[in-house]
Amino acid sequence: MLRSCPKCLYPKMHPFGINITSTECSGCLTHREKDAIDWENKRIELESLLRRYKKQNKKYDCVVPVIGDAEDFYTLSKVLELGLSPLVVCVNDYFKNDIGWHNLHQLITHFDVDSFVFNPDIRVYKDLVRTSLRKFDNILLPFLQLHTAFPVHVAYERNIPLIIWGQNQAVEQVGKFSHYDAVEMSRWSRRQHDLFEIECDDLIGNGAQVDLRHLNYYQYPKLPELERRGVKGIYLSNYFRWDPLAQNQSVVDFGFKPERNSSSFDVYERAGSSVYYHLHDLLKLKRVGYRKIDDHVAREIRHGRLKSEEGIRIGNLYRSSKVNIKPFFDWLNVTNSGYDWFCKHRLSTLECYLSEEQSDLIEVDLPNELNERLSPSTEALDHHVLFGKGLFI
Amino acid sequence: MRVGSTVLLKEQLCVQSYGWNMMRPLGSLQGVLDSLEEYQCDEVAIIRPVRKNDTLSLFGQDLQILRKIKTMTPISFGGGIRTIEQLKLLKGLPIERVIFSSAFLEKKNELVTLAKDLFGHQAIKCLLPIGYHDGTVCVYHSSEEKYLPLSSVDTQFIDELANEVILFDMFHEGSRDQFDWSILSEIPFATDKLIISGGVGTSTLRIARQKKVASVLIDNKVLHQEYSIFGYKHA
Repeated sequence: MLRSCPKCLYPKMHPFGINITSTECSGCLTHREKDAIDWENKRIELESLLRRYKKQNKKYDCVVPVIGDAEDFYTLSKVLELGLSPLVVCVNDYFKNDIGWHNLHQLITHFDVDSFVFNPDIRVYKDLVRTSLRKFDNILLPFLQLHTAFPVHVAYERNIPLIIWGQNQAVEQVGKFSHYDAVEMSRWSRRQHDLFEIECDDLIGNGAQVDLRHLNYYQYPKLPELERRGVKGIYLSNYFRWDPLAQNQSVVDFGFKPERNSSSFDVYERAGSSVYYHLHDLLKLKRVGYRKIDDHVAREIRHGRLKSEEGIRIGNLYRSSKVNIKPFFDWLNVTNSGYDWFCKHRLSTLECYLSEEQSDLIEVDLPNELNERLSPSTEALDHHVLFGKGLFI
Repeated sequence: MRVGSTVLLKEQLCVQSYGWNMMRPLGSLQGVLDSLEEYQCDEVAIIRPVRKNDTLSLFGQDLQILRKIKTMTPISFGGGIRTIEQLKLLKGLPIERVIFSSAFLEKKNELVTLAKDLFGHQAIKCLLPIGYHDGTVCVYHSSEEKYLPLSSVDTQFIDELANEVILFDMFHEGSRDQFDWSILSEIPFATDKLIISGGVGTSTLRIARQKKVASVLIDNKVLHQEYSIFGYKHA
């Protein structure tokens, strides 16, 4: 059995599941559809679908969940181009750095859209992050639970029956569905692809001692209620030819700020996060055996900006990068001895990736086709900035 | 008419099959069943899409997963039940019905009769992967990996032993609403013992209701949108 795709090098251990044959994986196979699809027809299909939701004498036609990522700029630009009136909803993950907050505010002001940022109770949130780290080696689960449920609550409570997401990760990464399937948002998909089958209930009880009343927005709304309101979620990547790097490069014109990191050449995806290319990346390595760079290499090979042999070389270089995870433990109010204990006992196999200082950026020789897509980037000045505006507690 | 779903189980994980020649991953069996239960699915047919190279060991590994499932939805199970030894392994599993395909095509009377004795006649289903191949209606014989003309299949044997027959349109599986109804004109079974699957969509549902088939099983599409079963039930 092959352990990785012979073409894009994606590893077999992908948590979404991936089918690998002797020539390619399900992700490569689905990616090839992009060259066969008549995207103009797809757009017409989308416009016809949207007609049902437009101009229902409501203030908003749709909810657009964002985190302030480059993809959100692209998604929002498309939503506006389609003539929709969106309500932009963001959940504060408390992991943003100064670049992350800049990008979120820039997104809202540049497109001049109505928005609100939900700040979950930070004590409950930290309790859940702590439990999620302890039980599942994952620090993003509580955020993902909120990010994938809160906008659905908003859609339900405000009677806005359409939610528009950017890419369908399961299609883009492992080709789980065909573009022709036009898969929609569902509770099953959320549980399978966003939460890795770990629901909020798994984080409480013998984990965080949290009152259930505080967890409403971490949980997906009841299906019969959603059904009554007809809430539906769609993914734009089913209707537009999705090329993340090219799209993300284009949104620099909207004022998006790319951020350098030591773990990948991609300066756009999750720029502005204090943990994504740091502890989260290491925990991903521990859980599934590969790092974020492997996602990026597979994507760029499929888009023809990297050859497989270049992907191996570049992957190897970034895969050995060191990261400083101490700021996360300070954010979580873990003592120095607690931090030492965690590194010694829970990250013992990853010791070679740990650094006590800001990691040096790796100089990697990239092919021109890829280099041309990378915009000048900066480094964050402040990490773990809890609030972009307003009170600091 | 019941509205259910087909779920393919390959190497302990669920997969989606498209047009009988390509597979995509889906996810864990329990995760799939949890959602189908929420969607108020009437029944689930869990099928192992195995061919000639199936082994008792692989069969046993899939049963381990099946043994752990928790669901209120009635489960039918089949795919690779070809010997009495395998059939006996099914005892005590959380399944209501047993599905045979190659066993019916090979007329394994002893195996199917034993299954009838163990599970009851109403629990026996025959799965016929069917479609037009080289201009004639053919059935795919999985354990032999070959197409058989329907005319060469002993349909009387099937009619006597199977309580229901699943007609699985293999060339339209995974497609949206393209079930080939012309196949039915070649089928000698009463429509009220037929279960339709493969390329089922909303218009298929409407026709199925008119024709009064026993049940329809939606394939890949069932998890592609929220409340799908509800939508199909009200098609």
